[in-house]
Amino acid sequence: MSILEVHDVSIRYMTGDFKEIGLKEYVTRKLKGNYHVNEFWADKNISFTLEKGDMLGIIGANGAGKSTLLKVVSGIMEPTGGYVKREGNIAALLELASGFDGDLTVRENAYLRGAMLGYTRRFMDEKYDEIIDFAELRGFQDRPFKQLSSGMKSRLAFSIASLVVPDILILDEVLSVGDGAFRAKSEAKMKEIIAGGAATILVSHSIQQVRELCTKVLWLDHGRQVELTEDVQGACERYEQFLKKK
Amino acid sequence: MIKTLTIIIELLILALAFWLGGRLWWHRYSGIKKGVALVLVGCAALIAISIGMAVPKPTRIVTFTALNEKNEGAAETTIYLERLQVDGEDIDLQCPADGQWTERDNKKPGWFAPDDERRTEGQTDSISYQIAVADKTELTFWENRWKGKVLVQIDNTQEVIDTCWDGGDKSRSTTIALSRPGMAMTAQAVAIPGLCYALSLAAMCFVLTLLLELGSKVWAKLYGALLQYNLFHKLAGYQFLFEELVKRDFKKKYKRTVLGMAWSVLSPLLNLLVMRLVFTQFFGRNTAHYTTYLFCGNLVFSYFNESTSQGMTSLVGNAGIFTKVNVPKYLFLFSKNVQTLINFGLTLSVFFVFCVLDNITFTWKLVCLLYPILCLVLFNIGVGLILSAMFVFFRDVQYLWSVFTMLLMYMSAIFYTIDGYEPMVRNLFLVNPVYLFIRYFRKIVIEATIPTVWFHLLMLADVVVVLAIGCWMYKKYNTKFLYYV
Repeated sequence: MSILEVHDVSIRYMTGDFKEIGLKEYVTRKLKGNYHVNEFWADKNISFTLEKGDMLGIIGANGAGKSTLLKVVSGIMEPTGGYVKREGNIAALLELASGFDGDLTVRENAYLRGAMLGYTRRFMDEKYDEIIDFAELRGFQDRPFKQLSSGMKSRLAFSIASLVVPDILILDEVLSVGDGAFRAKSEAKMKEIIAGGAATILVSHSIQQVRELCTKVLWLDHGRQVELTEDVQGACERYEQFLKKK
Repeated sequence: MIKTLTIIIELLILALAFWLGGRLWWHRYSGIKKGVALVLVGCAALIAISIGMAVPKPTRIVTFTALNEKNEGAAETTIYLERLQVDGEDIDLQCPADGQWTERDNKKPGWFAPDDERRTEGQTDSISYQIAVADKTELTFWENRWKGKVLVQIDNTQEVIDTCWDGGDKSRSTTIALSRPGMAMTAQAVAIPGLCYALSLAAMCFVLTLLLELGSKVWAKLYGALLQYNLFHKLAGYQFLFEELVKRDFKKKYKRTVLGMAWSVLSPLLNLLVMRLVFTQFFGRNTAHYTTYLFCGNLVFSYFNESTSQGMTSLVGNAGIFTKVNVPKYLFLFSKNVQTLINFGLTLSVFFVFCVLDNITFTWKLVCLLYPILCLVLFNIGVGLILSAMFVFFRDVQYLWSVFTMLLMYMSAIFYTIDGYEPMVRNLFLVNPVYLFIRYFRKIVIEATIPTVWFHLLMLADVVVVLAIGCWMYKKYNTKFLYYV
């Protein structure tokens, strides 16, 4: 029984006039028949399944539809076609540093983020010290969040998120966080989580990382599924050659 | 006959409604859900019956005109009316305060000739009563030697009745049927308006049946949705997030204020002070308990205004969160609403202090305030849902809404009374839901009376409509908000 099944998922994205226009514009354009909504397929017919302990690396150039696919997997978006079946809880770490509130203190932000990730208050009370220590932010607990450097913000985000013991973990450019020392620490933490039996999806532009960590590779290009294989090294080589050709 | 027919039609259609509604529920659900379904059907039936009772029945005017024809041997002429019965029910025969038609010893109307000592000042030859159209209309009057003739008019037909009876010194009461042949008040004449009434009732019941049918479908869908998303479980799961959001909103609201929370009490109070100053000093209002009157309006309106205009931005303001994490989007609005509700609670307690200062006596009826408060909270949530969804698509909503709330403020009779207007205009005020809430507060606090059942239902209807639209919008656009922020 697979933990996650993505079956023939297609996502149509809407762009065009509808965004950023006001009510008056909307009405006049509708009347003139000048109202256009362009749509394009961000992802087309993507299928894959994940078992326990799998780590899927998604590679592809910018705009290949990686982040959109992750949004569908994590349930933020609904697929236009196909379906996603999830067994068990899911934790999505998308664009880590966003969603924090600059006016709140580090402590308040930590709790808010924990709540967003679906932790309980008791769990946060227990783990709070651990989070702060891991993020190396002990002296900054009651500072407003906006005073922190971007590296610090990402460290805090990662520390909170890595507490998750999910069945499915989604990482979007997460492991490129912080300085060299912290990166090593975070990678070790990640491996620990994966060893714990979670199925993981990793999106990364670092082929090196994909080669080291992943057991499966999904290669996307302009929304199409180029390759889905367990031959990680082979796929990575082909992808690198593809990049060079461009 | 007509009445029985109407009742039979009504019952038949209600039964049909029950059957249709019940059929849908019964096979689909079991146990507690059946109970809930029954209660809902019961409520629907109650509403149907109350609507049926409130529909104005066709009426006609019956007029009695004294002809002042003295009979031979009579010292004076009088006419005594005893009772007027419509289908066996007594019509309340009210007597004019003065004039020749006036109140007799037994509180029934009677007419006295101009030279009679018992008559009161004034000249009124006739009195009229409004009666319902019915099969049988009976008039009872008092007969003896001294009684005179009376002209009875019903709509366009008329007949002279001589109430004189030569029984020596004796008197008797006589009942005649005004609906007898010749009076054109027969069943045939009554049949047309009566049938119209029956048909309109039938039409209403039919609409109600459709509503019930539709309602049962909506309910089934709603329940299915609740089960599917396991909403209750989900809500419990998001309790922590909800608390944190509320905390965040609070901290952000009172950031860098010296007085902090005190502002939420202070700002409506200052608002009140300004209004009080302007309207008592410059306009010289004479309304009793004017401060309380003003405060009622201010209290309700400022809560509505704050709650909706802050709720409007709740979705867009949290775009950074809901585009990255899959959380229920209504939580953001709810957290804003909790904050404004707490503000409202604080202002409410100050309001009660002011009531004491304004010599208002508190009665047990104050408990009834829970109803408008609950309705107001739900109403604000509903409006907030609609506005916040619309705000995602069109930012113009912000400006339109601020203009609209200003209009609403002037239309809500916050600082003026509407007693001076005609009944028609006064009824128009009832269209404004905010006015309903304000009126409810004033009725309970100042007048210590509980509004009618209709008033309650009207409020409930407003709340239900607004909430339903809001929920529908959130459900429909749940996955589409993402594209617009």
